[in-house]
Amino acid sequence: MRNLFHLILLAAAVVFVTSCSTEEVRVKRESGFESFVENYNRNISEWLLDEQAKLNKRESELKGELSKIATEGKKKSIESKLSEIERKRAKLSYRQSLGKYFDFKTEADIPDNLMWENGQDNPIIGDPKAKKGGTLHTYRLSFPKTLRPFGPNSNGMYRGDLYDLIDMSLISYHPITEKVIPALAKEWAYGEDGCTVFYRLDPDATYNDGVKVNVKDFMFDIYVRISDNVSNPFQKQYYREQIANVTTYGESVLSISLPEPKPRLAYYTALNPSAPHFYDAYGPDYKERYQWLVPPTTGAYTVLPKDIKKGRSITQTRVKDWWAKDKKFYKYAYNVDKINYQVIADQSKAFELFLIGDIDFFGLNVPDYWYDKMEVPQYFDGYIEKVQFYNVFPRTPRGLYLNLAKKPLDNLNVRKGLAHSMDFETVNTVLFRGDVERLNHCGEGFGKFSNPDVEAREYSVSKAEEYFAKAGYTKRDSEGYLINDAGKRMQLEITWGRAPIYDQIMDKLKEGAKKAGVEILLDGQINSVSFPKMLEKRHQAAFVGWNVQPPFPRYYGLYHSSNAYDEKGNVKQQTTNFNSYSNPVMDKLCENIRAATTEEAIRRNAWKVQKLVHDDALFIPAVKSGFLRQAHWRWLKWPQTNLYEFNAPQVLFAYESYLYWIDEDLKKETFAAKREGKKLSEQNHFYDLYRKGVPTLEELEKRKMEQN
Amino acid sequence: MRKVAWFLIVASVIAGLAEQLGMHLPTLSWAYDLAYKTSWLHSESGSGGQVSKFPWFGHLVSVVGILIGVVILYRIPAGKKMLPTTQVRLSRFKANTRGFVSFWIIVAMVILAGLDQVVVGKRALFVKTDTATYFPAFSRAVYYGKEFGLTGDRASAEADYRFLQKQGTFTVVMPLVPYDPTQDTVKVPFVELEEENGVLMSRKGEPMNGSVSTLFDEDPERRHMIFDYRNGLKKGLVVGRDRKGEPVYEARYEQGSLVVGSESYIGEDMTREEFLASGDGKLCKVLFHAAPPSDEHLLGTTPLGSDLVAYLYGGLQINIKAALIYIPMIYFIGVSLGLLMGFFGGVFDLIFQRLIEIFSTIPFLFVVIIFSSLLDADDRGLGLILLILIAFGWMGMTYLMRTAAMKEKARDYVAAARVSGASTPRIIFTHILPNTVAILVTLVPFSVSGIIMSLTALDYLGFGLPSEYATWGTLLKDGLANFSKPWLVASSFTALVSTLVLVTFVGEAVRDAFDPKKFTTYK
Repeated sequence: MRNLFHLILLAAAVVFVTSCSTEEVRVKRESGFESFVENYNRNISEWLLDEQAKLNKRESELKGELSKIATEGKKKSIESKLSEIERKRAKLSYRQSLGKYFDFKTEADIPDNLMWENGQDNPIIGDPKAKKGGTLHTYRLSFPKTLRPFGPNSNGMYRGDLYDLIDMSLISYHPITEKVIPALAKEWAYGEDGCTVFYRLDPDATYNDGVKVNVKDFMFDIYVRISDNVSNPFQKQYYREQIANVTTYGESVLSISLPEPKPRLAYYTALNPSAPHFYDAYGPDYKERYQWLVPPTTGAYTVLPKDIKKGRSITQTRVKDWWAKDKKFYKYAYNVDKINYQVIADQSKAFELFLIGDIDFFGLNVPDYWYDKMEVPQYFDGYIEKVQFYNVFPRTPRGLYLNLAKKPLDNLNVRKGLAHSMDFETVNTVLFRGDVERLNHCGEGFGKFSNPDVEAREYSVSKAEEYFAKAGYTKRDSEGYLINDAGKRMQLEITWGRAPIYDQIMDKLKEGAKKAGVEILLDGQINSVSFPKMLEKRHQAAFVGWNVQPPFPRYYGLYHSSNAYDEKGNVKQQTTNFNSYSNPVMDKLCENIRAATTEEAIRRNAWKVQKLVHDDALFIPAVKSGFLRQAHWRWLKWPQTNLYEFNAPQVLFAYESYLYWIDEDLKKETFAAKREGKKLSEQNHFYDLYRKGVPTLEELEKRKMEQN
Repeated sequence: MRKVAWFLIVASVIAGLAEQLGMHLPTLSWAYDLAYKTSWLHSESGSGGQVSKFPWFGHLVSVVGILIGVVILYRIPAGKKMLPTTQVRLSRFKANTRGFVSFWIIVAMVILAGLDQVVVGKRALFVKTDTATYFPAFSRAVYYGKEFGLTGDRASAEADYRFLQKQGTFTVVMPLVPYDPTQDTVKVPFVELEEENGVLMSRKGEPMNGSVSTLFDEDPERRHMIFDYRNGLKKGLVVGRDRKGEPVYEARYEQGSLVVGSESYIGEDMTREEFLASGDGKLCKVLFHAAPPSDEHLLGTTPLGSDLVAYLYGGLQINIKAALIYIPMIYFIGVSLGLLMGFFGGVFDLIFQRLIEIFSTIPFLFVVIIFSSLLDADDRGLGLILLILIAFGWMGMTYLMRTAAMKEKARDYVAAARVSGASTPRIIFTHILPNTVAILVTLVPFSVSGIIMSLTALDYLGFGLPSEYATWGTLLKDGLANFSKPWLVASSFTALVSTLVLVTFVGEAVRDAFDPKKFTTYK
């Protein structure tokens, strides 16, 4: 018996020791990068040939059709398809002229006539009063499923916190001037072909573990993302089709080319590096092996292994001796030492923690929180401050998308009448307390790309009646709804994905429309039912909002006829043209935006699209809020300079700019005041500097003069 | 029973006559309403601009009502005595004071709910203009604003009788609660506040804390200046909005006075001085929906801006309607199937039992979701929910009736009936059924509370009736999401619990009345 006991002990010890030692052994693998480069170059050149053959075939087919067909309309559509093929062919031959996808050259190969820029004439970012130090406490509703920056499940909320908002790419954009500023690249220059940007790396640039950033690391980043070790179809397609070439010139210069000219070339060519020494065990088991590992970063924050408390919290630590800490544009950003993300599954619990000071700030975009729930002594006594900040960010184009394939919505007068019978005024006053504004058109919040002259049709029973009368709806039936001569009632079925606030909006719209003689049929469904219905174009009116991102508006998917009808004229399913709208003028405008090489061209065409969508009454805009609201403890400080009032303008959430800092003395003082019951003055801030867009530098400088 | 029959006949006749006269009566015209609303319950005739609807379903219900009344009158002649057992049960029920009183309260509630637009509604009962008199609440025709001399957007919309009454040009008599339960957003309420010695006092007579506004034209939905008050004095940020609701003015106050140099104004239509003078200058507390109880809205308003009294009333009507349709349906299906299963047994019994088992494993919520996605938007509503509830509600009844039938069919009286040549249906429905009536009657009240609970639960989960129906479940959900507005949860909870308690009291009384043992002890 005793022996048996010893045997068990021994076995346990063996297991213990071996399990320890496996932690120690680190598999070193061939990274596979060299062979990948060769293979990928070959793949791409073969793929280009394939594409070319496909184009030729399609072209000869179309030409054959063209010779047979006589009708004018069809001829036009085929001709436009032919010119599209021509454009694609130019793109392909340009790519073939570039040679290999990944290329390695020497410094001597750099063209001589480049004009190097360094962006140093832009003003500083942030507030020089910022203090370093302290910990920012915030919360997330769940723990991430992985810490990898790419691969399965990596596309969650934390991706932004840990990587997208932190990592440095080659260049960046200045929040006020919107001009290019240096990041990992110290200088950059535009190539003559209008598709290429050259970058010279900053010699100081290192990862947080001290290893220098190499020009090949940008290629390596593409490799780890698109190799067959991970399933990543979207990025595979992106790098194949949207990037034409990456070339290194010696040790510090690289060039990146796009397949065709685009405005903001630098924005689209700014790649990120990945550290090869971190991926020395990269292989088919990447998904599991790297699940909880955080790669070395070029950014200001990293996550130390001890700070990953699974299921409970993640803490980011500021990199000591961060290479960019004294650079002009990064000196006053990334100020706090640590950022702590606690996992709190319940919003109301998080709010309670905020009220006792365990969390430093809290978003208050819901009116109920902003007004009623903030009526607390912490706010009245001045310990917590409320902020309303007008940001510059594309406004979600939320509203009613009318399906022209359904009668009677093919009638323009009906659509205009409907636009005048949607009572978004009551929606605003009753549901939003008059705090939001009417969205004017489908492309608001894009700065200069938004047409300022388009205004949404207001709620007006008499104007609605006028348009309905033109469409033949002149009488009212026994229940007070408009009918036409055939006795058909004016009805509109609205489909939407159910959520309390949308259900409430629809209830108000129904009530308002009845006054104008329109019967609204409410078709609220859970999202997984309503969205497929819209994709199948079975809706009359779809109430949705699309997710839009700066810097440019895009309309091809929403309004181009190729997304509305197929060649036989049937409604095309599974596309986002929820209007089933087909108009050659619109098609041309959408194509122009796609092929635009200058920002001016995008602006011109985008304005026309927005006007046309309004004139054809395709989209009845709902409401927008032009601001973000939050509350924060008074020790969390935000920039206040001539250029910055509270924050950088282009943020969706206030913390995204990393321009805040924590005043530790003020924190102690605040807690002391709270203990002693000392009351401070209440703080309710209203920052509207960027309300009508970002002012010019001169205007901002002058603002300072006025204040003094 | 004869009284009931006479009532049925009279009601059906009145409903039919009223329809011919173009009148719309509370509750009595319900069958006609349904006929007009549902496409397959009326027929259309004529063409072009002269389409007229023929509500055959309404007429059918009237005719059926009269027929049932006549049949009852014929079957139960005047002076027919009740069975002694029934008499005993009735007197036992009456002796149970708690149950008996509850019963009459419920009857009163049903009658009140039946008065419909006489008590609650936005249409006036009576309007007298200089030239004519109108009865909008009782008329099938819709009157528009222009008929009463209203202008602008109000002219072509249905007449706003509350506005007419406020205007005071004509004599307008409104219902007791002049609001519809849903689809009738009331104006955001506000109260004017008074200053005492330079300190603004709240409604409770304390120094004011919180947001205070001045308005444009006494319209609480067009706020001019929005101040913050602390201890009765202006403090902190003030935002001024123009008539379109755009914030154009901003300033700060400290201890009731303007901080020098803190003003900023970006309006373009007028100067700052003009802007500051443009409002009506009276300081008001605007009570956004859901607003607390006030004189105008006795229980306050809902988050969607309906009057809470009207909303509760609408919810009561829905519950009663649902119970009146649901209970007969499930009892009819459940009792007949159960009796047949018990009486025949064998293969019939076996097949139906398996069928019931299959049916009872179908997840109910999914069925609700699937059906509402399959049907057109205008076919969804109380009808659909009831149909699904009925489809899943009749099964419990079958097992009880099956057991009862099994027990009864072995009795001598059944054998006697069979020997004297009674047919199977006659045995089942005239001999066995009356002998199991005790089980049925005692269960009815509990089924009523069951259907109210199911509807409430469905609405609470968000899978219930569309928002144009007032339901207690929705109110309960809103209330639990807004604990800072206790009048929501308090009123819905009180309404729900008191109704359920009353129904349960009646149920207990009925059960005791039908109990053959006079004294029972609970263990």
